[in-house]
Amino acid sequence: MSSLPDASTALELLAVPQTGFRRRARQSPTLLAGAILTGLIALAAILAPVLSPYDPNNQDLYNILAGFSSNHLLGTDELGRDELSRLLYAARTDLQVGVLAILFPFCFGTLMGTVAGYYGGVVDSIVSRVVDVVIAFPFYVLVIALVFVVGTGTRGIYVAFAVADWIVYARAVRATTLVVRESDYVAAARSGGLGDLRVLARHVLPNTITQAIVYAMNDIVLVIVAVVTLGYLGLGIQPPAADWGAMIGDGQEFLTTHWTLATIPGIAVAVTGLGLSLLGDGLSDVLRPR
Amino acid sequence: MSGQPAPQVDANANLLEVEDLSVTFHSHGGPLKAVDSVSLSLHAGETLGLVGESGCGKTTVAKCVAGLQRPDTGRISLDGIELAQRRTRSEYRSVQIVFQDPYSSLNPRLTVRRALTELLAVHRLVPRGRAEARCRELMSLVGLPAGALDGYPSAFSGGQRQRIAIARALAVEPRVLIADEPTSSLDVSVQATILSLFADLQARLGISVLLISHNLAAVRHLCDRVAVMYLGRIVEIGPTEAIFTDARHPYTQALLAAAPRIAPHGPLTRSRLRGEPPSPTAIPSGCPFHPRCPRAEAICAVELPELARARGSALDAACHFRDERRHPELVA
Amino acid sequence: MTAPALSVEALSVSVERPSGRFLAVDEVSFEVAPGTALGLVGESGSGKSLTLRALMSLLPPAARIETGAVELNGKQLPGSGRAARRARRGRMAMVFQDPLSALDPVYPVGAQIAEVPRRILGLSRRRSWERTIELLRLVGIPDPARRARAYPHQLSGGMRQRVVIAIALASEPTVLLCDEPTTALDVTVQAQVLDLIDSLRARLHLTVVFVSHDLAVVRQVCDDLAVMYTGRLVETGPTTRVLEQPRHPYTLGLLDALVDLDRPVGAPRPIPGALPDLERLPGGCTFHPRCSFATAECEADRPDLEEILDDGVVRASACFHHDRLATARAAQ
Repeated sequence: MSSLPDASTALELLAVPQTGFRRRARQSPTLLAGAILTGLIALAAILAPVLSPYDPNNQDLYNILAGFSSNHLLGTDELGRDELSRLLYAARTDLQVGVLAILFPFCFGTLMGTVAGYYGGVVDSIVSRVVDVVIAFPFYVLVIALVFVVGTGTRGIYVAFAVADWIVYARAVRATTLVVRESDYVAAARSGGLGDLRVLARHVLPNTITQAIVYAMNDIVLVIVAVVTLGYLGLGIQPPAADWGAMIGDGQEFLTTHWTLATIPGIAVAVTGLGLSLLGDGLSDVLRPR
Repeated sequence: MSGQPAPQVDANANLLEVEDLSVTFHSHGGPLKAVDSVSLSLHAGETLGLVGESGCGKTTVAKCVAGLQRPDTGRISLDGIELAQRRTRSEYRSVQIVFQDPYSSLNPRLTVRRALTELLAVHRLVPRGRAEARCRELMSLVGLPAGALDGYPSAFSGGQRQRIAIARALAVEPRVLIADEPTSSLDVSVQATILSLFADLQARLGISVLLISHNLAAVRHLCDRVAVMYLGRIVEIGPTEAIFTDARHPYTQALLAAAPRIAPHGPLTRSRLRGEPPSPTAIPSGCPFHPRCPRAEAICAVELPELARARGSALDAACHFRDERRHPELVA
Repeated sequence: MTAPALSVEALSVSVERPSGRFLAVDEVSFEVAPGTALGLVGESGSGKSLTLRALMSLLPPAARIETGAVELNGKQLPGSGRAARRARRGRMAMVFQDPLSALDPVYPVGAQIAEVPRRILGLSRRRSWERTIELLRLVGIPDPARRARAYPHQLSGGMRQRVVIAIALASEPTVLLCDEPTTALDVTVQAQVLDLIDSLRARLHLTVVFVSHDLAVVRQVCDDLAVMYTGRLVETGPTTRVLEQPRHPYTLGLLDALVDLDRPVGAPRPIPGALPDLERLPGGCTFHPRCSFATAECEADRPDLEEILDDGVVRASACFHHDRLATARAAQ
C-alpha cells in the first residue's frame, strides 16, 4: 500500500534554497543605493556636532554672505553663519522630525487598519467613517490649520501629522488585511486553534505590514517636505534652529546674488527624498514574499 | 488541555456526526442556499468521500465541520459531544483541514519549523525540548527530509507544499482530517504521491478522513464510503463500491459517465446530461435535479424525494426511482 | 498519407528569467493531418502551452522563438510580429483555458463574436450578426438570438467556453488550437465541451491541436498523441497505441501514476523524483534520473525522437530502450 519510501527518495531535493531577506537584499541594487544614500545622510546628521566646523547659530556679522572658501566651504548666510554647519544641523532636525512625526501615524494607523480589516462589522464601519471624515480635508490645509491651533514648531508638526496622517496607513493596511484575512493560511491558523491575537500577530500582520513600512519611507520624505514648506511659510521650526525649509526661505531673498544659499538646502531635500524613495522601493521588492 | 489520550471507540461508532446542517449566504442575487439539511456521519478510521460539482456546497460543509463557517442550523458532534458554535482551542484541534491550493495555504513569512512549533507550543503537545524531534517526526511522516524544516514555503514545489500543509494538520493530532480537493491543483504525477500519502497516513495513524473532491477516481481509490452532493443536498450516499457499480441516483450515474477515462470504451460516448447546474440562488422546485434529469417525471417537479435506502442496495438515494437499477441512457 | 495541414519543424522557444535565458521548448517537430486532432500532453513546465502559443504567435514578452518553422498547408508562416499574426488570421484560432478571462466583460458576447467576421472576413454588420447567431447555434447554445445579447457574467462556465469556441470559429479557421479548454469546467460540463470540440472537428473538417495535462481527456478527442517532458517531445503516435503500449518510460510513468476510474485496486505508482528545474536540466536524457530503464548510455547521450516500427503504425520515441519497454510491458 505504502509508496512512501518512493516519495521520500523523490524529495531528496532539498538543499533548501535560501530565500531569506539578506540574500535578496544583496541582490537588489535599488535597496543598496537607497540604503547607502540614506545611511550617509543619517550619518551626517548624527555626526553633525563633530563634522560641523562652526556652531550653526554663531553669527559673524563681519563676514556675511561670503562665497565658498577654505574657511567656509559653502560660504556664509546673511547673518554670517556657516552654511555647511547649518546644513548638517538642519539634516539633524529635519530627519529627526520626519522620523518622529510618522511614528504615531504608522503604529496607530496600522493598528486601526488591522483591527478594522480583520474584525469587520461595527469596528470597521467606525474606523472607515473616521477615515472618510479626515480624508475629506485637503492634507496641507488640515496640517496648516492644526499648526495654527497647536502652535508652531515641532510640537505643532507632530500633532498635525498624528491627526492627519494615520489614515493613510489605516487605509492601506485595512485593504491588505481584508485580502489576507480570507487566505487559506489564516483559515488554517484559526482551525489550528490559535487565538485571535496570535493569528493577527503571526499570520496577518507580517503579511500586511510591509506596505505600511514601504509607505513610511516615502512618508518621511513627505514630512520633511511639509516641515520645509511650513518652515518656508514661517510656521515650522522656529529660528534660530537650523532647518532646510527656513534656510531656503531665508536664502530666497538673495536668489539673484547668492543663489547657492537657497539651492544647496533644496538639493539636500531632494537627495534625502531620493534616498528614502529608493529605500522604500527596494524594501517593497525585498519584503515581498515569493 | 495537554495531549488528550485517544478515547477507545469501537470501529462502527460514529466519530463525527453532522445532523441537518444548513447554510444560507446572503448575496446580491438574493439568499443563496449553499447547504440544505445535510446529515452525514464518519466512523472512526473511515474515509468518507464528498463529491459533486462546483457550487454544490461540499466545501461549505467542510468549513462548517472545521469550525471555519457557522451553520445557520444543524449540529456537529464529535464522539457524541456537540461542538459549540464558538469552538474552544481543543475543539478546533480535533478537526483539521488541508486546503486545495498549497500556494495560498501556507503563511509565506514562516519557516516550516516555526509554523509547526507554534502549533505544538500553543496546544502544549510536547515539552519544549521535544519540539524539534516532533517536527522531524512530522516531516518523515509526510515524506519530507528534516532539512525542509528550515525552508520558507516559497522554496517548495506544489506537491511538497501540500505535504507541509498535511504535516501542519497532523501536528495537532486531530481526530478528523478534512482534505478539500487536496490534489486538484497538482500535476498528474504528483497527485498520485499525495493520494498514496493519505492512504498511508490512514493505515498508520488510523485517522478519519473526509475527502472532498470532484475527482471520482481519487475518491474510488481512497474512500470507504461516498456521499454525492447536488445543489446543497446529499443525493446519494453509501459504500464506495456500490456507488461506482450500482448508483441509483441519475446524477451519480451521469457523473460517472462523464468522468474521463483512459481505458477505451468503444466509441466516444455522447453527452449524457443536458445543461449545467442551475444557480444556487434559484434552486428548482421538487427534486432540484429534475430539469436536467433524463428519468424525470411529473412528480419530480413537485415533490422533493427524501434520502432513503434503495431496495436491494446498500445505498441511500434521494430519487423517486431509487429502486430501479439503472437508467440506461445515462450509462456509458 | 495525405499532406499535413499543420507542420512544425524544430521549434525552439527560449524564456528570459532574471537568472538568465533558457530553452523552454527544445526542437519540437510534429505534423497534424487535416481533419485530425493531435493531443499535446505534459506536466507543468513541459513546454506544451508555450509550443501552442508559439504556433499562434502569442508568446508572452519574456519568451521568443529561437529556431523553427511552422507550415500551414505547405506554406511557411512568419514566426513573430505583426506579419505573423496577419498570416494566421482566418486560418488558425485559439480556445483558451479560462473562458471568463478570455471574454471582455463589458460587451455582450454576440458583439464579441460579430466583430470577427466583420473585421476579418469583411462581412456587413447585418450579415456578421446573422453569422453570430449561426455560430452560437453551431456551438450548441440554446436560444442563440437572446443569448447573443447576454454579457459574459450572465452565462455559465460551459456556455462561456462555448462562446469562446464560437469566437475562434468565427474567423473560419482550418486549424483550432485548444489550450486546456476544459480544465476550468466541471466534469459533466467538461464532457459536453469535449463532445462539442470533437463533433466540430468532424463536421467542419478542422485540424485540432489540443493541449492538456490530462491523458484521459486527450484520449476522448485526439487521434494522435505527443508527450512532452522538459520542453522536448519524448513520444508521439496514435493515441490508443501510445496509451496501450507506451514506448517511452515517461509516458509509462504518467499512466502508472494516473488515478483512473477503471483501475480501483492497487495504489497508483508515482514517478520517482521530481520534475527538474528547466534551468538545471540533467545531462543526457533529461528523464534518466527518474527512469527505471536508464543505463550509462542515457546519462551520457541525449536520445533523439526517432521513428520506431510497431506493426506498421507510425510512431516515435526518444528513448534508447524503447524495445526493452515493449518487451517488459508484454511480459507483465
